[in-house]
Amino acid sequence: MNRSISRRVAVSAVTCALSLLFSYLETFIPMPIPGVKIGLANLITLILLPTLGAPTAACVSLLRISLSALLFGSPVSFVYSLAGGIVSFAVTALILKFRLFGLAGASILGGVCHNLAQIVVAIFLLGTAKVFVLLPWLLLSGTVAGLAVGLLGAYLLPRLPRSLFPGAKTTVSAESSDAASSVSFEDPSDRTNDRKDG
Amino acid sequence: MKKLFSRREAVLLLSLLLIAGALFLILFLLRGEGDGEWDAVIRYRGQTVARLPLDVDTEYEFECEEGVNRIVVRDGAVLVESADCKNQICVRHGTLVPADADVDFISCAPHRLLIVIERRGSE
Repeated sequence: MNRSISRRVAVSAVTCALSLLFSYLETFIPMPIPGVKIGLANLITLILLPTLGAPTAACVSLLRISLSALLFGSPVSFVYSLAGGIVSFAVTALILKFRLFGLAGASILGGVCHNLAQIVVAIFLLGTAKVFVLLPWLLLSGTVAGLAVGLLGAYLLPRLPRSLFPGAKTTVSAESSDAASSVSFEDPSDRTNDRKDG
Repeated sequence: MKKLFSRREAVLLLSLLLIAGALFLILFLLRGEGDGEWDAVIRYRGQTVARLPLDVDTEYEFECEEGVNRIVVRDGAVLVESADCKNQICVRHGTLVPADADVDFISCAPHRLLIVIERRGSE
């Protein structure tokens, strides 16, 4: 039990550092539309949500957003990131919880909602509703970026060693009748439910 | 191996792309003719701080507690020539012309600065 808790803490810390690295590295990737990001750090959220659960994934996201703003951002960029982060996390977590879509769909809608939240913040910070002309750009970029990160996550998740995530409990599937996009570890039957100990 | 992408997700992806496409079309149809007299309006935190007539070539140094943007009006268009912010999105945006009045703007989010085009006398 204690080993599993230490492992959870260690995995959370390492993935948090990794997501921070992703946030930093992607500032060097030139994008066709100014100001648009891929959101590679969201890959970590996609991996952590179905394995270590929503509370852990939320802590890692929140820590990454705070540290990223502190290290590479400004107070204004923090407000944008936080709003986008909270909304996209909530949407992604709810979609996965109620199994509306698989990782790819959750990531697409998470990306789109991240951008919608930032438009709302921009309306308040810039003091004009004119920001809505960015809507088609942000819808397009959120969809494409979310798809890219989501597919990467759906590819990686079943391939990661299970020992990384002690007590991983859920499988992710798009819909119960459609096994096509379900994501699960090899042997869901012997998954011990030791999460309640932690 | 399990598939990464379900049919439901494909439908979701296509509908989002269609909505984005429709919005692009609406924005394109909203593009104006650009005739008449126009001003570049500089706004900071939602308040208008300057109106620069687009028919007069000028340079305007915008200063606020967050930083400085060098705004230039040239040949009937406005652009941000330089800024001391990190992301340089306002500089990379390029020019804004009267036809952009309803569909485009330049913003510098770190400085909470907004540049829009408005018909003269519309304030």
